[in-house]
Order: sequence, then structure tokens, then C-alpha cells
Amino acid sequence: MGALELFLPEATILLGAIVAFLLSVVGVRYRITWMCSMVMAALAGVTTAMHLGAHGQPFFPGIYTVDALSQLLKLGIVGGLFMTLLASGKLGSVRSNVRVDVPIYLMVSALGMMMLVSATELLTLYVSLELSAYGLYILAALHTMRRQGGEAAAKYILFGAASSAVTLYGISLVYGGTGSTYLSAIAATSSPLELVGLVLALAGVLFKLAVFPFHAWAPDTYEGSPHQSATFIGTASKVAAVGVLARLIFLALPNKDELATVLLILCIASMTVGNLAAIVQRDIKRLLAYSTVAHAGYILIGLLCFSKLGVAAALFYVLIYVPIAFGPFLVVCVLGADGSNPTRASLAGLYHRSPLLALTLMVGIFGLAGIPPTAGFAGKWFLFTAAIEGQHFWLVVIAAVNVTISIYYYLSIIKDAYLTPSDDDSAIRLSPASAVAACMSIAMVLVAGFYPRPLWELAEQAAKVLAGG
Amino acid sequence: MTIHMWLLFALALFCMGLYATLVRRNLIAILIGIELMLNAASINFMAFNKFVASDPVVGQIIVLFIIGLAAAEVAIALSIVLAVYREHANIDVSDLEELKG
Amino acid sequence: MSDYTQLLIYVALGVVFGFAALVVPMLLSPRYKGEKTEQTYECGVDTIGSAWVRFGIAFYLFALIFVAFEVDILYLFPVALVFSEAAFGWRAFIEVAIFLVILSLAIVYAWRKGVMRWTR
Repeated sequence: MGALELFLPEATILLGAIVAFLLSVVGVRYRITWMCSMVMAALAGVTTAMHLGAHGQPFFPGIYTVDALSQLLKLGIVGGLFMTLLASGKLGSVRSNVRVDVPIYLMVSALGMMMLVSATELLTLYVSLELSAYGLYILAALHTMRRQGGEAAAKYILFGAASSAVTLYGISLVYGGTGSTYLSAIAATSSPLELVGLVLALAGVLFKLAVFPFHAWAPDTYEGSPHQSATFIGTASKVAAVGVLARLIFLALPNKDELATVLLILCIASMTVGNLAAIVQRDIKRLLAYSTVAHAGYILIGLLCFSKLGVAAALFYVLIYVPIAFGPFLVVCVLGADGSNPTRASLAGLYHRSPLLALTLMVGIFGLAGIPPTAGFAGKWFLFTAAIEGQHFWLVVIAAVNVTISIYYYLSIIKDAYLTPSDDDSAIRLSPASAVAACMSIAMVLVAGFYPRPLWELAEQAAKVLAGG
Repeated sequence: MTIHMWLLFALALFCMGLYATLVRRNLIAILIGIELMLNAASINFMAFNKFVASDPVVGQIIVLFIIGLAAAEVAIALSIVLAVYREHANIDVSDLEELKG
Repeated sequence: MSDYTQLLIYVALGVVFGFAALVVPMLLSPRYKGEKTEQTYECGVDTIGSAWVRFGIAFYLFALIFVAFEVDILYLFPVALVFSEAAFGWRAFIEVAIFLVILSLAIVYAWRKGVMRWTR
């Protein structure tokens, strides 16, 4: 296969970003830019799906690798991008003069994420990490309420820049310890300096995944940034982060016990802090942010097993997490179309105002809580199986306690939406794009829940890239 | 000069930067701290490049990229700090406290 | 002529230009010494207020555009090093041209978004 053909999904997104840029410069209406971006994102989705089994190293051998792992994650990233764009028909929470620019930043950031999961050389990895982050920093700053938008973006970029600086310092130590920046060469050697460097280098990735103690930005950034930005940060960027995290930690395979201990502590702290903090939140976006922190903890369970089963479980979980988390975020986008942040109180009577939206919320929340028959249950099942196989019994117990805590606040959201009466009974009109997005999210979560085998097999194949077997 | 001198120098720079990011309350000062950390990494790369690397070009290229990326990051960060300043009329982090649960 | 001789000539020329810029005005400009000469800032307008004034926000936008370009010049140096080698010549030229076109898109963007309009 030619180099360009292997690069086709990324090239499509890049072309989409250029088209969106030119349309913005020419000054067409937002609607046209939006539709063009969706077409390009859909095309990228189709090309990614067609190249799901592709493998090779386009352009520069060793630096950029297309394999089962990268292609599967790219599918998740493009899926997140497409669904976010579907929900972006009316950008009520974005200042009107910058709305046309939102698709540019979404696409540039998605491009960075796609390159991130394919990068197998440290400099490429770092540049992609930054490319994916810059778009998100800007997206976080565009809220109509300038005071909060500035605050959200300032916290996001300061945390992000600091952790990426730590990552870079770690990368420099890895380079010193091994004398190479190629992941394949680094994996073949082992030195104490390399291990220290790798642990530092994880900082930037754990920041993207919002793992404790790198989670402090998440609630404020989610609350203060436009709904669509929060949707994108909360779905697609997690997929990229898990991909690169998996690639990085498997570099330290000879010293896996030490690294597993570090990850174990972070994992337990993330789950517990995220779930306990989520209980008291009134603002839906803040609640979702803390729930993201908790879910980052669940995903770490799979990764710290250092087994094929564990990696496959983590990949499966993060992929189904995109449509699952998208459901509640879509509800936020629709309810907050006037630019306000929906609270628990504003969910009241949702079932009577828009049954489809209420169903989206319920399926998404059930998925987050891990209630069958949603995909969230299958995902947690795989994660816990992997942990038991890896002899982490008491980790499963702690995770199970956490899931129980989380069911309490998840179900009280459902109660707000379905049982709490509301004074305002006016029906909510869903735009066609939002309705399609809602149906997509529901369908994916339920299909992957009833019939997880195809996705699980893909995840297993992707895990083989790292864990062999 | 031995490699240890350079590495210690970079480590000191990194620690100063990290300290500044954690302790200073001024957004610009935090940004300066981040720049110090990036420069520490650059010095590390150049030191390893000179003393241990098999291909001495790699480190130099990486440092060029770091400089470019740092400038891009600072451009975005400064424009966000500017936006904060316009609304809050100061750039002290203690004032950024409107968002909380 | 060795490379270092060339370098020496460039350095010498640089120094000469530097001094010429000081000496030539000294010889050509009219001399006048009065009450205003001793003031800190002399451009025909009386100084007003303190030096610690706030600059218009528009200056910062220009500065940001400047920073982007100034640093990206850095990437031209490695190209300049290999430019004379036969294997790189035209290819390097075309690649740098593409790079610069992408960079100048930033100017187009800033121009279309009204950064160049001087508002205070």
C-alpha cells in the first residue's frame, strides 16, 4: 500500500481543516462551514473504517506507524469528531464572531490526536501531543460568558503547558538513557534513567486523560468552556490519550512492576476522588468532568495489568466511552443552547419535554454506570476480568465499591429527568442533526452492549501490537 | 565540562521552573516557569546529544522543534491571559475562582 | 579565500555599518541645543504623564503575530545549511516555499479577521 493511502484518514481531516480555514477566511456563513466539515469528517470516518486492517510505515520508517492499534483508535477519534460536529449545528454557547472558526480547531485537534496514536518516535509523539492540545486550548476559551471562558481556558492551558513541559523533560531523560528516540529502540533497552524519564513523560498523557492528580483542570474547564468544546475534550481526546499511554507504558515492560505500582495508586485515587466529588455537583458539566476522572481510573485498571487482555479491555472501554459519554454531553448541548450551563434542576421534566433526549440521557448514564444491557457493562466486565487474571483481586473490590457509589449519583440524574415534575412543560425541538446524533449514540451503546464481540475482537487484535500473543 | 555538570544545571533549572509554576500567583510568572522547564529539557537534549547519542543531529532538531512549539504555546497562553486580564483587570490566579462546584 | 576570511569580511562590514549609522548623522545633522534637548523623549511633542502607561490592546495582537513569524524563521536555518548541496537544492527550495505559504496564511487570517484594523 502506498504511503499516501496509509495516511488517507489523516489527509482527509487535514484537507477538511484547510477547507474550513479557507471558508472562514472567505467569510461564508457558519452553516456552510459546518456542513462541509461534517462531510469531510464523515469521509475520514469511511476511509478509517476501510483502512482498519492496514499496517505499514508511511513516509518515514520507524517514526510513524499505521497498525491495528492506531487504526482502531483513529476510528474512535473520528467518531468523536463527527458526533461533536453533529451536535454543533447551533453553537449557542460560543461567541457569535468566532463560531465559524470552531470546525477548524476541532479538525486540527483531531488531526493531532490521530497522529498521536500513530507516532512511534518521541519527537513526533510530542509534536502531535501539542498539536492536539493547542486546538483544545483555543476551543475552551470561546464561551459567550467571557469571564468564565477566560478562566476555564487559563486553567486548562497552564495545567496543560506545565504537564507537557514535564513530559518533555521526561522524554529528554529517556533519550539520554537509551540514546534513541525511536520507540522500538527504546523498548529494546532498559536503564534506570529511562524508567524515571518514562514516569515523567506520562505526566502529559495523564493530564489529557484527567487522571488524579492531574485532574484539577477538568471540572473548571468543562464548566467554563462551550458545550461542544467540552464534548470534544470529554470524548475524542480520551481515546488519543489512552492510545499513547498504552504505547508509552509498554516501553517499560522490563520494569513493569514498578510502573504498575505507580499506576495502581493513581488508578485508585482517580476512581475514588472522581466518584466522591461527583456526588455533590449540581452543574451537569462539572458532574460529567468528575465522572471522566473516575472513568480514567477504570481504564487504568486495564493498562496496569500489562497483559493482552488488559490492554484490549482498556481499548474496548475507551472506544465505547465515546458514544456513552456523548449522550449526556448532547443533552447539555441541547438544553444549554442559549449559552447557559444546565444544572440538575434544569433536567426536571425532561421526559415530558423531549422523550428522545431523555432516552439518550438514560442510555448514556446507564452506560457510564455500567448497567446492563449497555456497552458500559460489557466494558467493565472485560476490565474486571483482566484485573482478576492479573491477580489484582482487591483492586476489583475497590473498583466495585466505586461503581456502587457512582450508581447513586447516576441514578439520581435519571430520577431528575424522568420523575421530577417541572413547571416548564414546553417541548424541546431537536434539530435533525441532533436527533441523528442522539440515535447514533443510543444505537452504538446498545449494539455494543448486546453484541460486543466484533469490537472486542478488533480490540484484541490491536492489543496484540503491544502485548504480543 | 562533564555531562553531569550539564545535567545538574538542567535539573536545577527544571526545579526552579516547577517551583515557579506551583508557587507564583501571577499568570505571566507561571508561564515563565513553564518556559524554564522547557529550556531545561532543551539543555538536557543538547548535553545527551554531545556526550551519549549515536546520531548527534537528533538532539539539535528536537531543540529547534522545542523552541518553535514553546513560542506557539506562549502565543496561545498570552492571548488567553490577555482575555483574562480584560475581564478581571488583573492576572492573579487567586482571582480565578468563579468556577466551582 | 577561506570560509573564515569571508566571515571576517562580514563581521567587519557589520561593524562599519553600525558605526556609519552613528557617524553619518553626526556629520550631516543640524546641531541645536535648547530647553527640550534634555527631556527624556524628544520627537516634537511634549511628554505627557508617566512612562508607565498601558499600551493599546492592538499592540499585543501585532506582537503575537510577530512572535509566530520570528520563531518560525528558525526552521529556515537547517535548510540554509544544506541548500548548496546538489541533493537538496530545488527540493529544499520548494519545501521551504510551501512552509512559508502556510505561514503567510496566518497573515491572511489575521487580516480577514480584522486584526490589522487599528482599533483602540
